[in-house]
Amino acid sequence: MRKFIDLHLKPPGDAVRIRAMLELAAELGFSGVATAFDNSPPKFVREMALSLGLDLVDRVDLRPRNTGDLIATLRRIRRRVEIIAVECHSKAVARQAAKDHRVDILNFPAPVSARKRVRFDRQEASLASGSNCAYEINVSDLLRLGPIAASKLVSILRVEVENAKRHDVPIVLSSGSENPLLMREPRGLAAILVLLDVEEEVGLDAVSTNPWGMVETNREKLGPGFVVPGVRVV
Amino acid sequence: MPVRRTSRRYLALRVTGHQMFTTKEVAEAVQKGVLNLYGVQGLSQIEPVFIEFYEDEQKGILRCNRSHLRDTRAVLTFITNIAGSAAAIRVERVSGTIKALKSMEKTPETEM
Repeated sequence: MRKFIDLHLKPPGDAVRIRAMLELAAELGFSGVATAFDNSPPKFVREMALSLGLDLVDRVDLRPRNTGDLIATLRRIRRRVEIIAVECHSKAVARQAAKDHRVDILNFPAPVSARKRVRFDRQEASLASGSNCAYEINVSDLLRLGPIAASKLVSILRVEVENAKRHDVPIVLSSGSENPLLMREPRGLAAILVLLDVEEEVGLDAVSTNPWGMVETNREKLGPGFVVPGVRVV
Repeated sequence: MPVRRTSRRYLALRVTGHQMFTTKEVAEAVQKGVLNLYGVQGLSQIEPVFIEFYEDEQKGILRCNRSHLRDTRAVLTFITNIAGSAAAIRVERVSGTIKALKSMEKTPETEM
């Protein structure tokens, strides 16, 4: 049986709403969630997740102003968090993030106007493929838009997903929601990919195998005794 | 002459939102959602039909064509408002018969 994970929840600061989102995630059938806080999730969030039987993953969303900023931040936090996502607002940042092994996820802006400047093109996919970066789609970006804007974003996403598939870049599908009403069940999230001509199994992998694989690899790297992939001190 | 019976899938749904919705409002939202995403042709292929909807629990059963289950899920995922108010429709379980769907009340969602 598949284990599902929502790798991008953006819970608001107050404990009541965080609890509501975590409870809903557990009810919807997720085994794990990643919450995007500026630092590690507060202790009470970790305890809440544990009581609900959810595996909580540390995630940080970086919004670097330039490549220097990105490199400096990565050097500072890579050893402290399990998943690092970079929101690429410029082409230079996107290229640097795609070729940096310390970046796990590439995220692109939702507005179609911004997506015309920076997107997951073939060169980006080729770089990401060499550094094991995943390409993330936030379903809430689509849900927030009206039909016309959503259709434009779907056509951009279709090209990006094609680039990711061509270069074997793992696709990660997350809700990206700040609000429980934008959260969906895992198979519902995967079904969105039908609009991008993605097969059902690939869609399900995007909410299960791909994100879990990334989390497990990174946990191993952060564990004691890790030297390089496949080598550890016993 | 033998005619092949159309296979269907039954989806147990739960509607959440800032207010309670009537059967008519939810059914209209689903129909509009299908038309938005797939148009008239899609509506004719998916054939969404509300079998029942309990307004007090905001839960119901939707029937669709089996070969378009994934499309139906995509439509339901895409619905973000019903009758002008923010809402979400989530699929709790899927089954090939209403009887099985009702008997699975407490079990996790089946893989169909």
